[in-house]
Amino acid sequence: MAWTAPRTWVADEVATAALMNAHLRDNLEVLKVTRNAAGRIYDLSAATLANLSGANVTGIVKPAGANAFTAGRTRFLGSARLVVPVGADKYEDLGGGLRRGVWLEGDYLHHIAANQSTEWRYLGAFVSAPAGAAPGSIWVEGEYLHYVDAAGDERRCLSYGASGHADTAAQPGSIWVETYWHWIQETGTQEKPGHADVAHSDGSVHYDEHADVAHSDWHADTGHADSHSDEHSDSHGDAHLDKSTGDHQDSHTDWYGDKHGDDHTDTPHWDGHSDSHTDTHTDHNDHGDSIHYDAPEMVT
Amino acid sequence: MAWTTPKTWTIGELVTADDLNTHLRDNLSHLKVAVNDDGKIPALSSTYIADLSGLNLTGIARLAATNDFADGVQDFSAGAGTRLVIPVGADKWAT
Repeated sequence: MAWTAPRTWVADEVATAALMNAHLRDNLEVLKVTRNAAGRIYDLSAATLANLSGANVTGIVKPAGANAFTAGRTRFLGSARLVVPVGADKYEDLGGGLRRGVWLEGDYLHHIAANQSTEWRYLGAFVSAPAGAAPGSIWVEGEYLHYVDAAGDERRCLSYGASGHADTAAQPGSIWVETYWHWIQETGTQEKPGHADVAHSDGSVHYDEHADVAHSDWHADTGHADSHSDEHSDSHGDAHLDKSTGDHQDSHTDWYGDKHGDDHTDTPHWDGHSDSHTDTHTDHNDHGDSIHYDAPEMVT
Repeated sequence: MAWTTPKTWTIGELVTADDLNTHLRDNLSHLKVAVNDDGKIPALSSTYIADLSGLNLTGIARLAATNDFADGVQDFSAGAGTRLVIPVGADKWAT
């Protein structure tokens, strides 16, 4: 039955049956549709609410299409993001020594193992320092589990190998805790384990390339040379005159001329020397060594 | 106050005070329980709605017992069917 706009009654009006039925009985029945015998609305269903959208309801989770909650599975796809608690010991205390939770503490990604007791932490390898990234953000990228630490640095936890199985129905980005982290890599269905004890071993092939350009010297000496010449000439003349008459008179005159000249030229000593030496060295790291990997570490 | 099925009035009937009190006053009072003076339901609470389950609502997270949001804890560890899928792809940090 439909709602009729309530009639405005006038004085001395005859309240006909038709009026009473339309404005009282039928309208009251309309108002009763959503109420139970106690006067309360039955429930939140199409029978009681014309529009069931929860958009105006507060205090509830309002997912967008990118992070639908469907059949108990929460997905953070597209633009959706997941941020885990950041700070010291952000686990849930279940009492009796039991705990559970995942959180960021400093540079480390912590979690409580499935035994609800043992705390582990991963120190992811530094990736970058993205501006504006919210600490606690966590996601799967490629084969690795990435997170943003408390300082805002992006880090990633390695997985090792593919010891986990590939479940054909597995959703990329699925993540869970057994003793350690496990996740499904970004593409495909491969499970990646967050832990493996792998001993270090050296591969059999290891070589370095080293090439030397031979050492060559160029050396030229210009020898020292002296050039020396002496010129010396002496001239000596005596003139002696004796007079034998009367008074004796001797006249003697000596003259001596000496000329000496030296001419000396030195050619300086000169050494020319040039060395040329080039080394080319290439280290190869494709030596087939398996790394040692034993993350995470237990927190005691 | 209990609901009384509204009376079907008949031609020539004398409208008595009892009828008006039962079929108008009391039934209107019954209907007033869940609405305020403006005719709006004051709140989504058990005072006004007998069953507050959101299972029939759309556009909200429908939580199961295995992944409840309780006391600020989003718990994905109870029950075999609960799962948490985190973002995948390059640089999926939040801002």
